[in-house]
Amino acid sequence: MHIPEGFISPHLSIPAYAASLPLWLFSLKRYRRYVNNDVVRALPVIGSLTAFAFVIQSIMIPIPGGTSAHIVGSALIGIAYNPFVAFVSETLVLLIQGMVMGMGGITVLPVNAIAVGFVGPLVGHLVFRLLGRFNEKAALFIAGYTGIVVSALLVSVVLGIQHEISEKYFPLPFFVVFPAIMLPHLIFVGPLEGMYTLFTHSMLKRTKVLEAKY
Amino acid sequence: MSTAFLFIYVISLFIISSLTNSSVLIVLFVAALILFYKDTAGSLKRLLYLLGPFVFVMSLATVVYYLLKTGRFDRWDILLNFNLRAGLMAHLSFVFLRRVNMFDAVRFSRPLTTILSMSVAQIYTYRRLLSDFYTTLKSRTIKKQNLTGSPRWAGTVSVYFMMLSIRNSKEMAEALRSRGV
Repeated sequence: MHIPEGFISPHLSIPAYAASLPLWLFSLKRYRRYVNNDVVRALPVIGSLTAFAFVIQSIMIPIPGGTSAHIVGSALIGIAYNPFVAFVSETLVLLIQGMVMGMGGITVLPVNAIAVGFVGPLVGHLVFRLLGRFNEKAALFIAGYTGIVVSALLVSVVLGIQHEISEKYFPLPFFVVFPAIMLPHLIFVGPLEGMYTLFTHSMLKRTKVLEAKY
Repeated sequence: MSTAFLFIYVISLFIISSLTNSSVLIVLFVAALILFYKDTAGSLKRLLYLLGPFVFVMSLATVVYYLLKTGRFDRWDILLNFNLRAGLMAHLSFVFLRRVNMFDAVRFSRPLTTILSMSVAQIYTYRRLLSDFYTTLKSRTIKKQNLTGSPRWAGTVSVYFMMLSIRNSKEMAEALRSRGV
């Protein structure tokens, strides 16, 4: 779902860097709090959680129509830990994809990080907190579903804005890109992510893996 | 030296991302292909594989959109522009990754080097394990899985990876402590 290099102009990427910088700093602070300010523990925790976030994004699941979609899992990390922990890990995943594997981008990093790594886990986390007290299983499904759908919505909005700034970067207007991105997410990717979040979180709880903590 | 290359690479990406003149982009793209001729074949292969499907769909959608909008397609400048920019930036990234050691390049920040090396080492192990899981699933599945089968399988695999990464992080923290970090 994330935007490849070359489709976002500096008019958007530079403000996105400016917006995400304080968010990264704040998230790192929250990360330190998560590991009780133990810096020696913090580095392996970030490294391991990033590797985990990366590998679950490599899991491909067949969807109707003969194609497949990959899981994002950011809502799961947002629910299991917290959205700020997820944001740091997902940003590092995007950085590794771009700088080590050659599958992403530096100029589009903050836009992708905010959309996939921050908004997704935050929405998932909030939905789960809000609905979890009524029905945990339904809340997990809805959290996973809304997390990915809202991320997709943000990506389509960014691309729509980019088209308004200059069509030489992104030639399709919002009314074209919005259904093109949202329909597959609403019909296929969202339910898939919802089911994945529900099953994985339930299994993590049942096997007491969440209690083990990083 | 690697750090200097990293900064040059990042600045180049931002400069290229600001270019909207197709002629300049063509000249830069050809220059990059000639300048890094040793990497050109490999880079073009990766370009086709990683970026090809996306830019193809984007190009097709652009042509269809303008055909429906105006009845004819004459916006070659737009088509050329985003294809060249995306191609040039991806080509530079592939060349950079081939020629520069990323871990050496981020040496200016010790925590970043540590995190990157810890993550990437685990990622390579996990990817190999994941391919084993796929092989196992394939060899043991006769019928096509139902709608919930695949997410359930993905969940089981994820639980395994989370357990593994929790154990790894604890081991690495202990290893760092034992080395007096």
